[in-house]
Amino acid sequence: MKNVLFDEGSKEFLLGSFGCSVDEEGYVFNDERQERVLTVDGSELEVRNFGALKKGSLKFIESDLGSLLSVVDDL
Amino acid sequence: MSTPHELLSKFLEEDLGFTRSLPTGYSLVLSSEEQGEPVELHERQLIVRFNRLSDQQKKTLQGLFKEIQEQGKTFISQERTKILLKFKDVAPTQKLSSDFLKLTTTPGDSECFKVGVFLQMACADHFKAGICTKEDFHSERSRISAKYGDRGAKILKICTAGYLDTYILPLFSMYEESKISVAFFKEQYDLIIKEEAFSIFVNGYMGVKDIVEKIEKKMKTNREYGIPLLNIHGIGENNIRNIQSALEEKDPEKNGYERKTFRQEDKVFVARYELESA
Repeated sequence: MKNVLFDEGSKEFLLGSFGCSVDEEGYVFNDERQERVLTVDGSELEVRNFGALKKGSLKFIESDLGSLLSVVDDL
Repeated sequence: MSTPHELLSKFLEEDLGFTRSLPTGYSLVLSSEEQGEPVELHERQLIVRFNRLSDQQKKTLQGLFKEIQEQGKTFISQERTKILLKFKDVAPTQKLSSDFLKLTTTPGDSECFKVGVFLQMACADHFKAGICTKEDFHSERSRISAKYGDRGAKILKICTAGYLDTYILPLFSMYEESKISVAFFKEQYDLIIKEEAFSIFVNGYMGVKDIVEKIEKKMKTNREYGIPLLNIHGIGENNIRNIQSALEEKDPEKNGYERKTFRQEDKVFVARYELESA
C-alpha cells in the first residue's frame, strides 16, 4: 500500500476513526479530551482546512501547500 | 505484527468478501460516493465507499484506519495530492539541496524557499497544466506573508523574480567550493533578503550600458518613493568589472549618495550606498 487518500466528503468519517468529530462551528473536535484539536502550528483546525493526518502520532496538518510540505515525503 | 496491507486485505476478504489481489504500489482511497460498489479496484486505486457499507463494516473500517495510521501511513487529502506530487517532482530535488536549506539563517526561510521555488515553477509551467491554479498561487503568497511577514514575502519575490537562480544559488556554490567563507555567505544571504527591493543584481547578460541604465532608474525610483538605499550585487570577474565601469560612468556619490561599503570576497562583490540626507 503506497498512499492512503480521502476525499472531501470523507473527512468526518475518517476523523471518527481517531475519536474526533466536527463541532457546530466547523472545527475538528477531540471527543475524549472535549477540546478542539490543534495543528502542528498550534492553531485550531477548521474541517474544511484539514489536509492530512501524519503517520504515527496524531498530528493534524492543514491543506495549504506550505503545511502539506511536511508530509510530501510520505507520498 | 501485521502490515497495513495485511490488515486491509483481511478486512476486505472477511468483512466485504473482496478477494481480488491488489497491485503493487496501490493507493487506498476513502470515498464518500453514495453510488457504486462498496469496494472497487480501478487501476492502482482501491476505492472504498464508506457510505455503501453497513454500520458494523463502517465501525471495523474505522478501527482499521487507526491501526494503519499507527503503523506508519499518512492520510492525505486526495484533492491536494496532485499538487503535492508535482511539488515533490520539481522543488526539493532539482534546486534546493538539504545543505543549502540547513544554511538558511532564519527559522521559516526553508519553508519560504520551498514554496517560492514551487510558485516560480507554477508561473512557468503549472498554470498551463492546471495543476497549480492562480488561486493556489495567491493563497500561498498570502499565507506566507501572514505567517512570516515581510521576510517571507521577500523570499517569494526573490524566487519568482529569478534571483534565487541567478544570485543566491551561485553564491551558495561558491561557498561549497570553499571560495567564500560561511560568514560571508550568511552576511550576503541576509543582505539580499532584507534589502532585495533596494538592489540591482547584475548578471552575465547585462553590459555596462545596461547596468548604468539600471542604476539611473533605481536612483530615480528611490527619489520618487523616498527610498534611501541602493545596492549593486555581482558574481564573477566580468560582472564585477562591468559594475565598476558602470559606477565610474554613473557614480552614485556624485548623485547625492554616500558610499557605505564595497565588499568583495573572491568573485562576489556588493556596493552599498545610502542617500546623504537619510
